[in-house]
Amino acid sequence: MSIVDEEPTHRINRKGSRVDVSPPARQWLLPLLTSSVGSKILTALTGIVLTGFVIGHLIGNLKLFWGPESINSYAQFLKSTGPLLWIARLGLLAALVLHMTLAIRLKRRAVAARPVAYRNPATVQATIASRTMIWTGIVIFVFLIIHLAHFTFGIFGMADGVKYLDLKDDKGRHDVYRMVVAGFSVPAYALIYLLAQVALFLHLRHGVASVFQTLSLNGTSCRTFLNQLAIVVAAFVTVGNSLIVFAVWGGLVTDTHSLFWEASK
Amino acid sequence: MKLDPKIPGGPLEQKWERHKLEMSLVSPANKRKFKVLVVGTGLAGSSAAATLAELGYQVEVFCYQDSPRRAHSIAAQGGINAAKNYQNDGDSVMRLFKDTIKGGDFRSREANVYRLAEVSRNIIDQCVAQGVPFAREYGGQLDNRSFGGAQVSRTFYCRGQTGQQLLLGAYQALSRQIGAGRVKMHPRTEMLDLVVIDGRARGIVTRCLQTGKIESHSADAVVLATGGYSNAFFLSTNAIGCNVTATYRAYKRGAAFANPCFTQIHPTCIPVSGDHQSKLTLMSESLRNDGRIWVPKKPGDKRHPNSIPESERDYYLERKYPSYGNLAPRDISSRAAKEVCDEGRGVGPGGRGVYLDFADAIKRVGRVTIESKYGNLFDMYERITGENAYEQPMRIYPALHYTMGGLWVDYNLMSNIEGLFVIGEANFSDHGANRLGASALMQGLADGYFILPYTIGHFFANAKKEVISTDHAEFKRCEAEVHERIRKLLSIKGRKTAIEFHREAGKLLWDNAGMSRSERSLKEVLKRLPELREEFWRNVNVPGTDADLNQALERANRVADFLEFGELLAYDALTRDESCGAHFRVEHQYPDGEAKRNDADYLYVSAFEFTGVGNTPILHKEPLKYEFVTPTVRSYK
Amino acid sequence: MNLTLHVWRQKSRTDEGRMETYLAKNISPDMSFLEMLDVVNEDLIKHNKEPIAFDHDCREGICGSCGLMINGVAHGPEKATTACQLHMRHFEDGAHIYIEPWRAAAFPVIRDLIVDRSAFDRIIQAGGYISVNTGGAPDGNAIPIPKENAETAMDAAACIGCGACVAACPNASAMLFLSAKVTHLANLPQGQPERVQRVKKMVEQHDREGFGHCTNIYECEAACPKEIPATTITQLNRDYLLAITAGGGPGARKGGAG
Repeated sequence: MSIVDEEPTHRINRKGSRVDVSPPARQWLLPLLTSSVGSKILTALTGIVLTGFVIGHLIGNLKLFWGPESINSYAQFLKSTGPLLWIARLGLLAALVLHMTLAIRLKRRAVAARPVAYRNPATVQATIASRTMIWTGIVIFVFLIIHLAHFTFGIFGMADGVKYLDLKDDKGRHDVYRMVVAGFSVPAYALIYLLAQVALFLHLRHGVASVFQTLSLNGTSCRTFLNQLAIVVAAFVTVGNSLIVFAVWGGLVTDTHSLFWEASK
Repeated sequence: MKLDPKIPGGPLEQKWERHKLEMSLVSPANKRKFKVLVVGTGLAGSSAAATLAELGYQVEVFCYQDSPRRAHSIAAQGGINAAKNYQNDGDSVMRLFKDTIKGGDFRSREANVYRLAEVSRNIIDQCVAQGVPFAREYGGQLDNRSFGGAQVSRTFYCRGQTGQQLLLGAYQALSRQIGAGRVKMHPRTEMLDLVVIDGRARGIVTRCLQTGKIESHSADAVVLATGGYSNAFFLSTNAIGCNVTATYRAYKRGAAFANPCFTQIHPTCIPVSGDHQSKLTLMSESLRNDGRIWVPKKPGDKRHPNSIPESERDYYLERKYPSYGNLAPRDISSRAAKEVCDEGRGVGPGGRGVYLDFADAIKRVGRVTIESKYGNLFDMYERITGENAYEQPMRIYPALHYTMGGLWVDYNLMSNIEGLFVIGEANFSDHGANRLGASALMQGLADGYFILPYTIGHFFANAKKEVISTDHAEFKRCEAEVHERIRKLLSIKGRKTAIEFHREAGKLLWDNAGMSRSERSLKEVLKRLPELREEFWRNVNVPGTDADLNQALERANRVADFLEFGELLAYDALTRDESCGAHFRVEHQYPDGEAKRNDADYLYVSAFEFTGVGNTPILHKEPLKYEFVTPTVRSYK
Repeated sequence: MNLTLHVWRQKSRTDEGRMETYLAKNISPDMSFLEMLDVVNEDLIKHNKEPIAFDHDCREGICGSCGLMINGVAHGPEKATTACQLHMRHFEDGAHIYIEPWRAAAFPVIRDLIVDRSAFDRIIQAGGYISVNTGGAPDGNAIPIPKENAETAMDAAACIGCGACVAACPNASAMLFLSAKVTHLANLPQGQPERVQRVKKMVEQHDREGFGHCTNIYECEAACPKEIPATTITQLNRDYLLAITAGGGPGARKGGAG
């Protein structure tokens, strides 16, 4: 692997003074994609996008506690954005594919870098989260497929004999509220979601802190703070998501009432 | 054997400048036709190899370590002297020159030492340009500390790791040349013989320490930068691998060995803790800037140092040498320590130790300042001894540290064998009978960066250019001898290990030819060492084969040379029937125990010619002429 | 004290290698770890067996030769301590000690506990220097260097090139070694002209040698006997990002200390 030849960083204008020019894309894109440090930077950047999505997704989901009107209208609104939604979806998909491809490639590289394992391995200060990124990542990916099949494409799961995607509320909108309630009422599904949350916590806990290190946004003294910040972000996402599952499971959220909503009789 | 020091004429201040002008040059186009072999990658070897390659010569470099960065210069802690006078305290080239001559107890060449002081200034500039992170003051200027044997602050330092940083600077310069393909590096390769054809060094025979392969290398010049021979004493502050093999085998091929008895004892090492000890650890002498050295006044006082009241402590260096106090030169403070221990006032297990106390300094400038200056040394001390030196005094004792003696060289750093250059600690040239602190780094880099690159060109310009193939009969003969010796070592299969022989020989030298020597003790060495050598060749056990990595074989091969070399050292000490600098003959001392020099009979360099193992070597004398300073009694009172 | 050692023995680069067990008897707590191995080796030689090969030289923690994985931890249990400065007083009598070589594709085993670390030399050769020939350097005080920058440079320059960071890293990455040199030179004005090229070339060589990548696990920092902080890797990441986006012009776009 080699980095392409250097390009000039400036040109001379008519008055004879130097003007900076931006380097051509191939000069920064190639090392970004191929070198160990570059790939890691890209993994961090795509990680930021995915983390942003996960947080946004959770905030949207929390509308469940305000009842069907709140969440169904939100879902309707998202759909109404049309092409914008598709741009976002494709963007997310691209980020996901890049994130995973780079991570897998880096992992393979790491495996090749230590062909013979230690007979008596030990670590001093590494967190479990930091050492299991690839595995938590894989768990999250598998879960993602299940999740999409479950709620987005409605391939399995029924509510009162009606397919999820065919559920309509009284205003004729897709009834996301009933779909979620029905989905999490099945203990096996709920369990899968909860397990995925554990993986997500670990992944974010290391990932979020790592972003700052990899993109060199941290100072010398703020590692502890960033570590705690990462735990807060990871906990927020995990607790928030799990809360929804537990709330349905525990009967706090049903077809007739939610935390801040009561069906009018 | 003719020993012509080739010192240029003229006033002292102009000798080197004039000599540089008078030396012949090799044109840039011709430089690449000359090949130089550099053995050793410490400060001298790395800096020389990098500079020679920059100039355009073909350079091949050899070191026994796995990387050139690991040569033992890396362990130098304290600093490097340079006559910069940044502190405006009256320093100058002349003062550094005089301090070094006086420190060497008037047994070094004036012209060499002056040149050393002169180029010292360039070294600092060069190292700063390479990115050596010297300590700085808040204004961004270079910081200095003072050091033993000087009354000015002229020592530049990088915390307690000056040698490391200077070596990494030279290593990086060398790496740049290796990366550019201008230097061929041979790590894990040990030089085992010098090939001399018609009186001129033509190459070396090496052994690859990974594969055991014996190989010849032919060149236009050979540069030995292989360091000193302190490990002849077994316990020293040198790295385990440091050895005399390269210089000793050059000696066996006709190079004169000069002043082998000038061995320096470093006053501030961590005392020996038991028989298992494989080496001694030095604590930088810079500690003496702030530490006060003392022992209890009463012999056999076993109280904890902190509970011995001020009135019952003997700050013996301050008492005996009021103007230099704790900064008295190395030999003087080492012998003073031995003296108080011999009186039974030594401290710690075995009673061979004195206290180095920082309590006053901590009171004066605060613990934080002391920590910033010496933190890593205190940490190291605690790791080794398990004691906290902020809370209680350190224990220190002298140990073998540096050897001023080495292969004889002329002003151009060439030995009496044409084409064989010797630089750094491996030569004898600049420190006389005693080296001042922070001067070893200075000399290594002066030789490598600023002297050899000029003088070697002069040699090439005047030498006959002819290519000698490694198929030449002499190369084949040397190779065969090396093979035979290794075969013999492996075939003995006796009952003792090489390390056992080394320990025994080292103790013999330390007890009889160490800090103080007498005719009787030296004759003891000359009697017992040959016996030990004879036993070695009959009873050593070297396991394994010669066809792969075999550390026991490497060690045995080096010990075999120490067993011969120790005799030369003792013989030199015997013939030098005076005390001077680090060479202390108990027969020659003033009533107060100071060394008594004899300028009338011994104002010369002893250079020895090899006459066969076990035979008395021939002593050649190079008279020392003092034209610019008058030898005086060295007083640090 | 008496100890049971489980030591990796491997005759050559191509030999498969295996763990072997030895008893170390009558060990003094004042011995260093390597002196303990010396005792075992002397005993092996006396029994006409080949001693355990291990790299060592200065035995005062500065040459970087020694490197042993002791019970799975590079250089053993003591913080900021090389194997040669590790003393037996830190082990319990009767302990079992596992001793393995550094494990990395870029550090092939030569024999027993000795590995080939020449990859480190090649990383430095790729750009870990300041291109200045001997002679003609300006006065050492011509360019003042803020004390803080000199200190940061020195912190990073303290690296002894032992390879513990690689050995400890679950990815066998040499980032800490690499970033230490980058940080050392990036904090000095003399290092600026080549700053961009240096980081690119060194990373390229690092990757070519077959080291893994950094995933911010920080085991390297914990293993480093010189306590080189992982913030040097932060500096490396920043310089690398600047280097590839700034293009190939001479000098760093953002000069000075990072």
